[in-house]
Amino acid sequence: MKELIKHIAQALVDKPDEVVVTEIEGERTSVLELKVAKDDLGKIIGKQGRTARAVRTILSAASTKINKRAVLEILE
Amino acid sequence: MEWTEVEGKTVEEAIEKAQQILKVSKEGLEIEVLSNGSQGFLGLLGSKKARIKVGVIKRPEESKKEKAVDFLKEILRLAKIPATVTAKIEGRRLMVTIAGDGSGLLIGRRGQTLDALQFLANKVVNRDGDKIPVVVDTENYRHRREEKLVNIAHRLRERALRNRSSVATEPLNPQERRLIYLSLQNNPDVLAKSEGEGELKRVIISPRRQNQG
Repeated sequence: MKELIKHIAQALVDKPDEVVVTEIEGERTSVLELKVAKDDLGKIIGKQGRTARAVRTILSAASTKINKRAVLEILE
Repeated sequence: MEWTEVEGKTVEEAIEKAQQILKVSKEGLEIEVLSNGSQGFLGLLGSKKARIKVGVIKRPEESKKEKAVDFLKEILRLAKIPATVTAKIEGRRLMVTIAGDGSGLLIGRRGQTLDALQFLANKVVNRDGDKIPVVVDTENYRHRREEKLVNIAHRLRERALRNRSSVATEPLNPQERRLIYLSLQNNPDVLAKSEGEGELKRVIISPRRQNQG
């Protein structure tokens, strides 16, 4: 899941080298923390949060497949 | 860019040769002259061939197509969803088709997973250059959904007329609402308008009281 978020985030931002994803694994739920360059935050969130929502939708489809739950947190 | 070296008696001849080999017009080639060549003395002594280096300039749509396919393929690989991705340029649009296992996982509830993939593909592909719309489809979902919406529009119209009251669709995205409007545009007996906020809005279909006013 971590790699998935990293791949999507890196494709969206101007500074792909500054994309960092940390995964905090729980028994059933994982929390993925995404950090990007300050100037790229808007690109990840998108107008009215649409980009962030799309990333979360894909994340939940991918985790449904392996019967897990994953939450994406975008760190500021 | 992949480079090919071509030789000829003159630079012009080398360019002509390159066009034949790579099957593109001169405009589609990036040319770098490596050596101008020389005729030599009376065309005999010390003549040197002209050498050029050529590469085929990719049309922007072609590179956008590759970008979209690579981006989506990698998502599917990392999400461990076995699927193949193909794309073709149709007019002004880039049509991407994902062939998966047919489980509907890629479509999601009311197409939301497919729409998310499409939204992100559009973002990634159109970061620079001319914007071209990217349509992502799987299992012919887009067409099936279109037919279903036309159907819904007509059913709701009938219900509105029969009950003489307004009826509402489920929350729809702009493209879906557009289809509802289009299918009702030749039916002056009902009035359609959108209600709600944000991306998803319901379309309210109400009977027009033309006989009572």
